[in-house]
Amino acid sequence: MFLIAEDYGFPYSQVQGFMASYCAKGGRVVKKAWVPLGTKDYSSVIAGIPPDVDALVVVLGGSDAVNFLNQAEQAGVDKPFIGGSITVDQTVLNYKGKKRESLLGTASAGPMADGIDTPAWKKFVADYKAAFPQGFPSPSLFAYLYYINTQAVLLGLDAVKGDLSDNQSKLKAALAKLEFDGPAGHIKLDENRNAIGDTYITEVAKAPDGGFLQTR
Amino acid sequence: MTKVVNDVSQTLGLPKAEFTKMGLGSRDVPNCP
Repeated sequence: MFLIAEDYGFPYSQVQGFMASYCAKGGRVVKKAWVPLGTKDYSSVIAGIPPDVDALVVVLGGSDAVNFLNQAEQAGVDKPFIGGSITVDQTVLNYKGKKRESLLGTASAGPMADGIDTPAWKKFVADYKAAFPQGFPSPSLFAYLYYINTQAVLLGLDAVKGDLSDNQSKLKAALAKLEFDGPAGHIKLDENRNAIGDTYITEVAKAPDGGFLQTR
Repeated sequence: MTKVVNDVSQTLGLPKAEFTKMGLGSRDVPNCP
């Protein structure tokens, strides 16, 4: 594998998750390229991709992902991709470059998937589309995470009846033990206030309307 | 190929001691060149 990722904590954690399993299975990542956020020119990175790698692990988001995908397409890169959680979410899947077609089949993982087939998720998507008719065909990872964070705070505020006294001590205690069912599954916190929730292993597929989705 | 893994913790499914031993994720942790 060849790996390209943005050079900060969020991609470090995603790469750690991938590498821990991949290395344990005997995989090899022969070269990594850590690039600054907002990189515009990927030509030197693309030129340095070893020709004999089987696939590329791409952990880039937003305009970084789009710029890399377009330049990789222009350079003739024809390796399959494994994507980070924001590399193939709706913020990237809706860009119009030709390379988008080659994202079909890209494997990824994250706390949600466009193709979740539950009433709770379908209602969330329907509510999102009603609220944002000009938005994406399905909520992005960011929309989902902001939603469940807000949902948690509102549930916490209900639990303490809006009592924010004593430096919000009651709200903090309520949030620490809060468990609830979000649109993509049950969520709770560990002792360090990190989330424990469902993770969806996905691949990019084409929807009936021609759009691109992360299926599960 | 696609599936759901329920109740994923922040230790990548590893026992806490094993996860801690791995060290903080960084440019070179973990590694398999």
